[in-house]
Amino acid sequence: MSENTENKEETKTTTTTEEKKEETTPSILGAGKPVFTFASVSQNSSTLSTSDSGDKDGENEKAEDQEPTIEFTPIIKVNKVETKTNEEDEEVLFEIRAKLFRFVTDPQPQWNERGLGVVKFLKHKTTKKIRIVMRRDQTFKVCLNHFVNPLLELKPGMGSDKSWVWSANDFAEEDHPEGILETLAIRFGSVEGANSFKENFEKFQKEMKALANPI
Amino acid sequence: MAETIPVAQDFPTVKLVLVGDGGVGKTTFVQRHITGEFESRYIPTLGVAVHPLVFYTNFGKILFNIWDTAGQEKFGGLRDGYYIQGQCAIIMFDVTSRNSYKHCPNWHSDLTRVCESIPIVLCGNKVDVKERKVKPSQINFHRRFNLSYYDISAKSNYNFEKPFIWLASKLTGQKNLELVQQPTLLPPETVVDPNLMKQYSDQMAQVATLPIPDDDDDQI
Repeated sequence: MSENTENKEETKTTTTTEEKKEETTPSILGAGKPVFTFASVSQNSSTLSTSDSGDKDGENEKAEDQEPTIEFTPIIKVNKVETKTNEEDEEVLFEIRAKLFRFVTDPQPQWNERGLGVVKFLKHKTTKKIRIVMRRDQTFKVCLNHFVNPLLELKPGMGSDKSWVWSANDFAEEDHPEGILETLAIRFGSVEGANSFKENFEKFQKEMKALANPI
Repeated sequence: MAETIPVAQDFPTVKLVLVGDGGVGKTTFVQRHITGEFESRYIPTLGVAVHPLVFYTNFGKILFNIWDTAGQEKFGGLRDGYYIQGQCAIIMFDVTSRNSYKHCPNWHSDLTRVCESIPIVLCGNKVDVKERKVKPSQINFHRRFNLSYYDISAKSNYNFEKPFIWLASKLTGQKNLELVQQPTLLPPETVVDPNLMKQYSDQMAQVATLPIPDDDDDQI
């Protein structure tokens, strides 16, 4: 058993040394002994207490992120790309933080969270069309994307004066360019926020309606 | 030696193996990423479920095929048969369950027996829970094996993107890889379809009495 373990560590040492050619911090893997604790990741206890306030005895302190500077042979070849949002020709008319839900029937009728982030209204500089777009925090994935169609109707959310409900054909999912019919609920941090969202939504619907070629 | 994967589509695909004890939140974590939902019911995974999960980076789009494996032994299916050709992995435990942390070295040795030296992330999930049992100072097993470590929460989304950024950066060899905004589709110009309007109102009728979840306003 113990022989087995040793063998394994041997193998590991060789591969690691081979693969660390791009290493920039020289101290890390020392004398070809990657099994050691290394300085860059071992200082958690002393520097932890900064992030979370109000914990008793540090019970809910978060652990620090630890990212060893080990290198692997890259298996994916990629080049830097120019990132496009497809919003380059649009201007932001209004934006506010919100939490979005969508109605599902499986396993029972319920609201499932769809995303937390900033919801915004975008107006195209030439077509003048206005759409509503929302991306999730952290991963920046699109969770809401459709035109502010004048026929849509915002209704108050059941049991909440900070939310609205509507149905629309949504184009958030890139694998569904035909759109998906969603019934959505959106909740804001305050009643004022919710009200101002509705005022703007309806104002932009009027603008859309006034267009020569509305949606 | 890992071989270079030919790129068939216009973006690369990698196999990610997700392991850890039953109930630590593997499936919930994956679902949270895919649909945005947070599922608090526990439905054990049988065998394996494979989910494609994309990320948009400054080096283009990358697709992880997540092999979300059963944590419970009795539902294990092919077990380490699922690890074959795994190119990266996440080992997850639950910071409210000491046992789930104790078992991580076993998950790690099973993984590395099949996959040898692939980038692996250790994640302590459920850090939103007040009664944390596995303290930061007790989490140290990963250091011996050069795994990266993150406290995460599938419920609050704390750090939930970090494991993928680290893995993507190791798999591409690009140190300054970061996530960027997903491009939006341009919604098509459609004429109003009365049938669609009917569907709208039918759905709206269904939700008229369904209360909207109202718990964590501090996040908004």
